[in-house]
Amino acid sequence: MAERVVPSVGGDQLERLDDEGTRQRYDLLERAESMTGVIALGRGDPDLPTPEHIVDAAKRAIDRGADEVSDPAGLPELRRAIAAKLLRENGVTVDPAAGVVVTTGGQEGLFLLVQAILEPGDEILVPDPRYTSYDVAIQMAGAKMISVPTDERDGFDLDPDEVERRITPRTRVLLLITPGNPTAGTITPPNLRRLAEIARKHDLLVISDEIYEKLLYDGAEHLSIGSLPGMADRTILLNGFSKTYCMTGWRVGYLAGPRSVMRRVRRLKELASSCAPVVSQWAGVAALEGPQDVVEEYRRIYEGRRRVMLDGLDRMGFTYGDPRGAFYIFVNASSVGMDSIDLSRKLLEEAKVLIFPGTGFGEQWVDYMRVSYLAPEAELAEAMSRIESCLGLTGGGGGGPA
Amino acid sequence: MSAIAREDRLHSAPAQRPRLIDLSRGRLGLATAPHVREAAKRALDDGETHYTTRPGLNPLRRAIAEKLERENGIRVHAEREVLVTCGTREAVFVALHVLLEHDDQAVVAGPAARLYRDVARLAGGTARVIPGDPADGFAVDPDAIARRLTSRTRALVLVSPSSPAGSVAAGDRLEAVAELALARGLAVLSVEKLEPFVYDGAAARSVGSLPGMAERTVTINGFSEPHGLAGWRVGYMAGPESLLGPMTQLKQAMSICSPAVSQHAALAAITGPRTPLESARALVAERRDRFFAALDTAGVRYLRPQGGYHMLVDARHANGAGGSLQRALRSARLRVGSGAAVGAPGWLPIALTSPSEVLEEAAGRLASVLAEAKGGTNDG
Repeated sequence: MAERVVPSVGGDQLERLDDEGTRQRYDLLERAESMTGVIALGRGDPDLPTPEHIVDAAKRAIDRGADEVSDPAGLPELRRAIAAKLLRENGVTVDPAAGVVVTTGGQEGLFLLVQAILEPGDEILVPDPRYTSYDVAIQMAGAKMISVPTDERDGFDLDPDEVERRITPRTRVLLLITPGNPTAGTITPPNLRRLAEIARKHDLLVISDEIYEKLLYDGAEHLSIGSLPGMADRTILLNGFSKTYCMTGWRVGYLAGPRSVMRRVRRLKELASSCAPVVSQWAGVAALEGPQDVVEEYRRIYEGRRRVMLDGLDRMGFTYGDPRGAFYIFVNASSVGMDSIDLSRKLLEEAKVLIFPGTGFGEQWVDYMRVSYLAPEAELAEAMSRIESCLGLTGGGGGGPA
Repeated sequence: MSAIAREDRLHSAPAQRPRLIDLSRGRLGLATAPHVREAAKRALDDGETHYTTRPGLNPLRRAIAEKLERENGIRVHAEREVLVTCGTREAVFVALHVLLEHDDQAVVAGPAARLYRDVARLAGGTARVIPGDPADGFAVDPDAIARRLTSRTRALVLVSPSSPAGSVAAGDRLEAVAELALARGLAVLSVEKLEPFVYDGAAARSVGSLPGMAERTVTINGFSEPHGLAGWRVGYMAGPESLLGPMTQLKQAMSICSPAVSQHAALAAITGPRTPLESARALVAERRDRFFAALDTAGVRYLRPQGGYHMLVDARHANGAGGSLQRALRSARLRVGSGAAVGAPGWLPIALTSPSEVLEEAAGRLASVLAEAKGGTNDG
């Protein structure tokens, strides 16, 4: 008998599934989990609890029976609440019946959307640095990611000229994320208006990831590009509950956009996982229809923590792009003179502080690190002093927004 | 339809029409067991609202590995070879997307839901359903499968108990399938979500437990039925690290992790009493008995399923098993799926998802429709 062939996954496929950034981040997370006393400035998982009224609504849904699947696009109640929210807060008009799909978190939304709108060989413009889980979605669609550089000195704002310069006949989609991950920069309204103009001129679809929309500081403004003239037909808005309402574990987000695109997304959603978890969908209804004070309450907590972090970074002489949103800071650590992976390992092993290396968000960010501030202020202050003494940076001074 | 019949229909008030019986509804719709609900609520009270470890809660993965060893004779490493997914559907999506590259083929021992073909196509490949022989109860047919393999065939999908035919792969047949996979270097996706629903003394056996199959079998199972957790979206896949590793990467890219509250519910279900399984099994057993008796009385021919809660009614001799039969079923206020769509043309797939008395009424209506349609050619 011939030698047995053991099935394996092909090399091309492994390449498509490969996401170096995620691997770097998870290697560090795993190491950190095996240690004690680590202060985690890594994962973007809010430490604050899901607000009580949302948890209570979920428990009521469990008692009532949330056992049957919903429509693949989501519970009608949730889709109506989403459409009402988008109109009220974002000036975006969508059809709750055919223009909204509830997904198992924003990540699934992005994955399915990319499969729905990109054909092999198509190009998608993605600001750099980026959240690298996009990579697998794009690679699985056989599409090509074209990076658009952003710069610390502009607060990682997206320069419309840099976008337009990279448009080719194969460009189909422009991906925007504001406030951004990992940079926490925002795309300023004047730039967003120019980006809208470019999208119209070159007939591009726009994915607008607005998952951090409620987390803004220093008077930064949020503008939904889908609300601009002529943009409703070409914008797919991505949002969710994870970051605004501290609901990462519930896995519920949504996409909203033109019916032609959303029809395909709904079908993909049905094939990928039937529907979003129903208990979580009821929690989403409660989040949107319940009191919103908690959103501002949480934002203020982050604001205080952000101050602690920036003070610490300034003291050490680090620069960073002005973090006007989210709960991250993308720090320029070039003054340390270490590759970002080595730096993150050193900080974890010697200072017991977990940070994510810049290269986890794009290979050329060797001088950068992403820190999140999802821990109480005292812990963050402690993390800053640990970094300070580990790197011998005490009394450096001279840091701040670049 | 004759002019008079049309006239009659026009004049019959909607209120007098018999109520619609949906024989295509795919889910049993059982309620989540109280201890599972309580566990889920406790997890929420304990603040389990964050991401879990990417492949799934550690205690859940351990419980799954223990279950697979105890009940299925499959040994997997709980941390490296088990992945908790958002239902079995995500598991199938992930597995086919990882295994199939452009123009690769999967073969599906059928009849089987359209899902497999649609997902394979989305992955850039194809899926060919090999329905098997009706005279043989649509049992998995290793010879027929062997004849359809090409140089691009990468995976064999085996759903057992199957749906809608309700065949259970066991004995020589299963061993022959395993030998085929070994000889041809195929990966096997073994979808076992209907595992508790086995009847008439049949015994389901996991293909992954057969010699040499551990290195090539991905076993997919879940909690939707009979734990009443369909809406919670939680299932799992288990298999060799060489396949599970890349599948875990794709799952992570798709949905990071499965919902925390649902994973806690699943943990309570898998470690809790077997009562929900037994009562779900008994519920379907009672429906089978009463529906089969009603069909027998009415003279309707059908394939007696060994498992699952779907079955096939024989409409091969009906006049126009395709469009006109569907019209006649609609007139009789029956909603029935298409046999052709699942690879069983001439057969009517029936879901035992309605109460027994409703199924009994459906049997009578089916008999009238089929009697009336008898005698013509079969265009299905």
